Amino acid sequence: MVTKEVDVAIIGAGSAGMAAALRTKEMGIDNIIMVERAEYPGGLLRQCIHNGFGLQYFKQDLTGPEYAERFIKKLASMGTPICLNTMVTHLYPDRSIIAINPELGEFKISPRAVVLAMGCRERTRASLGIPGSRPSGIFTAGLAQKLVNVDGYLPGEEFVILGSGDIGMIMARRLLLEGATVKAVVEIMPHVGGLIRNEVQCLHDFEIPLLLEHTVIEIYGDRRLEGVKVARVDKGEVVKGSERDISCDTLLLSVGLVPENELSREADVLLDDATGGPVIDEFMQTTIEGIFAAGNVLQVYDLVDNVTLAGEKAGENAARYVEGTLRKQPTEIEVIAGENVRSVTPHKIVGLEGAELALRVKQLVENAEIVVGNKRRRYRAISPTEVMKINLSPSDLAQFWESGKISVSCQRRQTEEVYE
Amino acid sequence: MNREIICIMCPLGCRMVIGVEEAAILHVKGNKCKEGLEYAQQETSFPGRVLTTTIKTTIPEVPLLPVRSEKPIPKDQLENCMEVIARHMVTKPIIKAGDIVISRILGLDAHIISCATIGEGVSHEG
Repeated sequence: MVTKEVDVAIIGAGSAGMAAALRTKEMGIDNIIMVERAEYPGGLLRQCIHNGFGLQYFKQDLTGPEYAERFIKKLASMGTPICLNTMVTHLYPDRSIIAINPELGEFKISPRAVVLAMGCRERTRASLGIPGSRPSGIFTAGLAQKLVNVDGYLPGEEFVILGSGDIGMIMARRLLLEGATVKAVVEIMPHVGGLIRNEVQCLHDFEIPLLLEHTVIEIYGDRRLEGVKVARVDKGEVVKGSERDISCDTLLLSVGLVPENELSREADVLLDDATGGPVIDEFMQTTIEGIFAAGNVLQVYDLVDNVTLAGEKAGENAARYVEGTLRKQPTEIEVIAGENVRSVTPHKIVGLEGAELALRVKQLVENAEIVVGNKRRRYRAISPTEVMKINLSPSDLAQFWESGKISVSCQRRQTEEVYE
Repeated sequence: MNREIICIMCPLGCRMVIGVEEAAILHVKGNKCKEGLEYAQQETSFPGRVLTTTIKTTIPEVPLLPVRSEKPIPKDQLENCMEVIARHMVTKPIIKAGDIVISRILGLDAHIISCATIGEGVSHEG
């Protein structure tokens, strides 16, 4: 078996992986390898043809392909090749990688540091357990997005979309513009799962019916989907008498994303149940030395801009690890998700350079305040759909080394004040 | 005339009622901050959206080219633009991101431009 000895191996050439590779290279580490199982780089961005990307990172409103191309071009100009059509089959705790592709067959990579950038995948019908028959015509929203936007197939004529995550709402508009009928977007919560902007510009603009506090309780059809039964849901219970049938030939599921961590598990990387991704420190290093993680494999982000920034941080620290310039303290500060915080990364702080926390809240809070240690930041509103970032300087953290703990919480403020 | 709109400036999504007469706003109710006023102003004077879609190509490996309107186009023209785009086919062997694919679609002040470089212009092989 061929063995490639490299300084840094990056698994995945989506937005996190590309940013990590660029930054590693900028740090002066040239011997890197990027592996990508798809036949093109860019990951999800290629099929996300809508705009709204890059508003923070580039201060421009870009489409997914435009955002990706900026990184693809830069990688090419820096002479960083991407091993496309290459599937990583194993990752071991000693960081060695087994991969396979059509040119080399099975080969081994022996890296000094690894960046995990495998992204996430969609939840499927199986994870919802919807009863009924098993006809064709049931797709995850992201798969339908690839079929419509990259391959050029419209997978049906009359659609029902279950779940109002951003991809679901964006697909509702996309399908309608491509001439299909969208009979309903069905959401179990009393509000949409994605951004308000998408509710307005994808659903309201096109008068697509939105059924809040509803879900699909049965699927009909012999060979092809013929319809679904929807019902109102109140406090987790189906409301009797509210059931009705909607005929459709295609059901899209936009019911959440799961970080893709099979390789991380094989390498004994400890995972966090709240994020679904690796437990990390502020350098993006996992619990296995020399293995770093960034992007949606770590936690499902709201904006690609944040994924890029996380990728850069992981790439930079992987390079520093190789150079031997990552300095850890003998003790650490555990970061604890307190009141109304669903998840927070990093999970621990191990160095003296400060840290940037990224957190998601459980409930929408108006007139909100995030409290970390002695630091308070105020916001008009914080929603579970956003990843909030808080910077902690070395001095913000200084007094927490003794207890080894810092807690972050989000609460409603009692008095009106100036917002940040 | 009163219209109800939802503000998209922050996660609160304030439901606002705006009184409009001949594209001039008379009053706005329901907004919790001044950003709501600005949004109401913008949605009343020019309710435009950037149109993003795809155009068929003659390149077998890349059957679709992602495209966008260079700037927002009036909301009520989106579906008409889609009909024009559906009839269009890109026949050039190389297209670069930013190239004009359809100039001044429907006579509007906006070109349809390419969002990607396809054809011989780009190589990902390493």
